[in-house]
Amino acid sequence: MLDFHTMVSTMPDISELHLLGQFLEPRPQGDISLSWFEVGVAATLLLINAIISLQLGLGIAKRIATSSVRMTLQLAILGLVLKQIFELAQPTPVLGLAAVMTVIAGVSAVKRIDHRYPTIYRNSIFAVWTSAWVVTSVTVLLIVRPQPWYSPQVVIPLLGMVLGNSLTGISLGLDRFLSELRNRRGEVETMLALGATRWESCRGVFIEATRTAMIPILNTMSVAGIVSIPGMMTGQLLAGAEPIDAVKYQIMIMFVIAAAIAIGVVLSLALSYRNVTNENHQIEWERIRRS
Amino acid sequence: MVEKTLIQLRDVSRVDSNSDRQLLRAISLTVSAGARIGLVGISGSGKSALMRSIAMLDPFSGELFHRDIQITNDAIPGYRRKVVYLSQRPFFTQGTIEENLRLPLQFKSAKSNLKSASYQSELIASELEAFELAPEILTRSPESLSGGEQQMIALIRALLMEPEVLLLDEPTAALDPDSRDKFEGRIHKWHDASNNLPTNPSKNEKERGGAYLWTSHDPTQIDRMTQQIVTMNHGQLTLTTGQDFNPRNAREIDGLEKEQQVEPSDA
Repeated sequence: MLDFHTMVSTMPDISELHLLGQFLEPRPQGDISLSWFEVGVAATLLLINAIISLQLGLGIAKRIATSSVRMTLQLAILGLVLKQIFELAQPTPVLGLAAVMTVIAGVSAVKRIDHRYPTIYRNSIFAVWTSAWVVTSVTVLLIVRPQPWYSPQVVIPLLGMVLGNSLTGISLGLDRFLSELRNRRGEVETMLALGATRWESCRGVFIEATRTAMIPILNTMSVAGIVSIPGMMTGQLLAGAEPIDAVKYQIMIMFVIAAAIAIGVVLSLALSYRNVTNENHQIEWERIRRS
Repeated sequence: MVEKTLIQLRDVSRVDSNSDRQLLRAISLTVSAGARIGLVGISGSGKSALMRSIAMLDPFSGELFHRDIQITNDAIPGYRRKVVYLSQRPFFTQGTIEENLRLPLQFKSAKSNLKSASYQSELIASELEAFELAPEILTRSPESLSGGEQQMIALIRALLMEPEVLLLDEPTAALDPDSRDKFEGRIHKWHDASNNLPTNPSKNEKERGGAYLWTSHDPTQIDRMTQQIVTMNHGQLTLTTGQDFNPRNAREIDGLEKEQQVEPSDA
């Protein structure tokens, strides 16, 4: 929802459009703007999915419809907001939107977690905020260096991509940490009973959660360019960028995203660890509840 | 001989914050050196909660003293090595039995304890022999062991830390009679050794007087293994008996007669 370039990349392939509408006027070179009618053509593709679902009784036709409407509305609103902010070209609205996006990401990260403890939302927002803003600041101020520094067309899509990935990592990490702690309760507690400190007893679970959270980005990195052309690069190529330039940007953004995930995950796990244990080397099991 | 106080609880209470249920109500209890305390009561009366609190595994209100010193924060892992809680179902970490037996010796709280690795190997070997377990068991994984073998390994793992107090939470409830006898025998031996000074000249004054608390739903086991009975009911200590009971006669006392002392269990 927050990823500007994913919006670009989810557009149907240009050649597909041409195939569908040979009677349509050929597009002038370099013009990539779509009419709403053309977007509608893409929407009909999803109808095929809906028909299959209805025929086979998959029971997801309704979800396909609501997800599609939701996505369209969210992105349309984002488009309108971005249009306003681009026109204003002031730092405050840019940072304001960035803050809203960050809080939504922090809350969303907790949404899919099965076990929660009372301060989990606060910790998640703090972890997303710190990791995404530190990493995006470094990227904008030291690497991309736009003029002015708050250029919304640089800051917002970059932050959006970092947030989207950081929230996935934090969500996976927290979910694994809390469920694993519960599943391995006997083992963790036995270690405590045998003289382990709270860290010694939780370390194995902490490491496993970190590893789980890092796997998606490592997988993405290892197949990038072979199986998939990443979203940001797709967008740049569509916008007419030189392939080499697009590749450099993509490589940079992969490193940036991986760094944001690593910082966000370790931070959120460290805060969670502090919140479910106490200085008496006890684990406060009663704080961890099923949501 | 003056009985040394190992552990003293004063007004220990614990509330489950999820259900608001009071698990322990203002419990005061003294565990003296050499004590063999049977903890009885129906399920849910707070026996496990009390043992877990003595091991400081759960947060509670009230005070706990170990050798007259109140235990706080950083001293707790070291305290738990002296006052070891053994659950009914033993748990292990990934790895072999040997790795599991050595695990507690690698914790930070063990670092002050300078024992050579070879000494530990001999100790482990003799412990296995005492339970008639083959040395090959060391290379096996915990899941490949029977419930009885697992509980014996858990006991060995606890004894390697040279505890002062064992908190035995229905340790033999899931064991067959043969394993149960071996377990009881080893506890007897440990208790004798730690309370019988001449045979153990290496121990200094501070290390004497091993004590244990034992919960069980089997009244005859409570008779065999303990000399003092504490009854729990709704998180309170309701009855303490058998203080002047002679432990030497423990095995001869008629089970039926003693069943009146022990609250009927739900087992």
